[in-house]
Amino acid sequence: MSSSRKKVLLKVIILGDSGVGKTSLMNQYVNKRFSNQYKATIGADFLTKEFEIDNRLVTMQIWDTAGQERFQSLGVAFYRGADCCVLVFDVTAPNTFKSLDAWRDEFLIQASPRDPESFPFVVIGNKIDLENRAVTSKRALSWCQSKNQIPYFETSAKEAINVDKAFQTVAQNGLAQETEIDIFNSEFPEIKLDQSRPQNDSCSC
Amino acid sequence: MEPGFEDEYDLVVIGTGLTESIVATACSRIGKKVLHLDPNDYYGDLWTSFTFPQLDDWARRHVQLAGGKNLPDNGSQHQQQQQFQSQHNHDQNNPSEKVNNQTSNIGISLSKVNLTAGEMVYPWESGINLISNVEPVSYMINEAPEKQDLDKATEEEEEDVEEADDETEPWTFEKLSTERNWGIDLVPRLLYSRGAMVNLLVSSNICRYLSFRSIERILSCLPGTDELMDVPCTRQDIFNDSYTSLIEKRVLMRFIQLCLELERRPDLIEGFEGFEEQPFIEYLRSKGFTPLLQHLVLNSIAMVDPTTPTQEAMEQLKRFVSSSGRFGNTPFLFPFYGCGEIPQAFCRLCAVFGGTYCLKRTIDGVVAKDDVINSIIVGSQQIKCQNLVCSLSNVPKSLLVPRQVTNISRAIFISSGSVKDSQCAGSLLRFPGPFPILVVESSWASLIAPKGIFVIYAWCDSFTGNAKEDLLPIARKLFNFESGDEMNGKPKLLWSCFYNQATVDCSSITDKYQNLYVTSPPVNELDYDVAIEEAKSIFDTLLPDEEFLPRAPDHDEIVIEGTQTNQEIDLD
Repeated sequence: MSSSRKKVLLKVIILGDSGVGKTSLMNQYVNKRFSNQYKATIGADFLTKEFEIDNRLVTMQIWDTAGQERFQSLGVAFYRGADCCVLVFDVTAPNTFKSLDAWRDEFLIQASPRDPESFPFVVIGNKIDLENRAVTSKRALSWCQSKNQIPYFETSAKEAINVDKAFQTVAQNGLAQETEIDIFNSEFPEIKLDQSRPQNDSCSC
Repeated sequence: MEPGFEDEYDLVVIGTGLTESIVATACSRIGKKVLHLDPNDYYGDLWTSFTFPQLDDWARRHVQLAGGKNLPDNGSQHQQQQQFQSQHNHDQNNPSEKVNNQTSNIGISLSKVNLTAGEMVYPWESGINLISNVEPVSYMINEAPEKQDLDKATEEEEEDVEEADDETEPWTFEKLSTERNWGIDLVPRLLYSRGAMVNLLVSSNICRYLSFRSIERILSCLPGTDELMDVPCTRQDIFNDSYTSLIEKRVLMRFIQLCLELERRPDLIEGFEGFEEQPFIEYLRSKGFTPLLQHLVLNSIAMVDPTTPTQEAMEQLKRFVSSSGRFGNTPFLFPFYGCGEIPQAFCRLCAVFGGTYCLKRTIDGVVAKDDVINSIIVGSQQIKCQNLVCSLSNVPKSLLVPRQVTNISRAIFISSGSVKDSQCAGSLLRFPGPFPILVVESSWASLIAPKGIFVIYAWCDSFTGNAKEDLLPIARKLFNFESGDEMNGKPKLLWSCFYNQATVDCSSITDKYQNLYVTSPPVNELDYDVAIEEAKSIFDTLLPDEEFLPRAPDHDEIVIEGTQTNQEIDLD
């Protein structure tokens, strides 16, 4: 199993109400750019970013909701094998902050992580570049503390403020969480169809 | 406050079963505006994968729907030929009266519906139920676990679970219910490694959302016994096999070689030595196949009947051989987390290309002029749409023309062991007969069940009209039904559910509206060929000049154009 540790795939999903800037955040982090042209997440799927931590090559896959969150219709497949969940709200829109409870519950039900209490979440209050702030840091922090000390970041995807820092925490905390698929992977290789080369298919038992 | 839908869509799709999902995705992919609804709170309709509690609820709900205790029908009358008893067609003369009787179905008051000359409002009643004879049975002693700590202990020593079987607490209904990570299919399938679904997933690039595991063995039940043997699928397997004699090995090797050549030289199949139209069994006999070899080739490799014409059987063999060795020993793949992932993968791509998704929602009515639907009514919204695609179970019964339906008998078995000594099996097994029975074994290794648990599916065209009667005999061959210790090496059955699922070809099941397309329920097939064919055919009718599911670009190929940071616009 130690050999399979060299390469790590980290699945991160971003949740939050429509329009809080989920797509912008991941685009800013991965592509270092911001566009004000997305409308309800057309074309956004998942982005990957590779980096090295502790001699391990980590591929972080950040999954967008693809707009399916709009009518609370994200299927269970979206949540499969998540290593970290980022909850995003808009600091100028109190309703999006109030929704965090529902998104967290939804995640815990659908993804049903092994240990819900210690599953790594990260909360991001986005759009701090705007004037009309309506959710205070204090209020957000106190919510995060009440949910087992979730790390909290205030960002601007537009001005690239704090975005890298937030995702570094996402990566670290996600890595600390070993999901079942990683455990199984070494024992039962998963087959991806788009890889032209057949993978090692031996079954260890 | 809930956001509303837009006022106009090119296509509205009801039901997130596989066929509808493929149509929705194909349309969205080439730029059509799609609204995709499903009255259920989960994706996939009958093509879904359930958790154990969901499956148990589903079964109980259907038992209740059928009026309480669901006893098998007496007698052996052939019931698979039923008919939809269609009500009379829509009351053409007085539709608004009909609406008035059913205003409770429509959330918008009639005065607010925008009607142009000749348009009428028709309510959209709930559709027909395709499931019957549901019989869930638990064979577990229903006790609360005595020691909570055991759970943790087993997690830490996962490697030892199998060996320590006697030490671990027995499975109880409660324990199964609290386990996570289930993916039990109502309509299980396997994918040929070079079959239609794999090809479509690769060519459309939808495969990026899915992972698979190879089915590692094909089993065969030796005639007249309950004994299961591993069918040798590769040269290595044939060489090592202990059931076949040296001569049989040689015959089989030569035959597999011939099949491989057929793949490269399809012309060989045409003039198949005068046997094209002859029963396949005749061909096998003529080539000196012993009864054991005939059995293996017919039932496990070609998966045809003895009377199947040789040419057709050879096509099946070609399919088998060409898919072998691509990813594993057998030609078959099974999706991680269950087959319910597949419709969801299509829906995700549909959403990525702008499709709008809403579960727990269906349409309440349609606004039509003559035989054309102009708009639909969802809650308090009237939405224009050009076409409506609907799965059969979401179409009002009154719109259907009477049809012969086929009943498929299905069973789901949950067991604490494999049907044949393995710790992580994925297996395929076919019982021959006038109504051949397919058995697929999947397990925790495909992440569809908790560690140590196997889920075994069986299905066939119904011959008694009742799933339990059709499938109980093979269940007795495979499982130990007693609650005691394991006997005869058969695994212990923990839970089972028999049910019948009706299916019918829906290509012309309604003639009421020319822009309403109805998709068929799942048929009795191993891969997805029929469903893909139907979806493609609907797509080609809707958009004759468009490409069906061209490759979707990868994330790094999607570049957001016009990137800039000068002006803030709300992202929604």
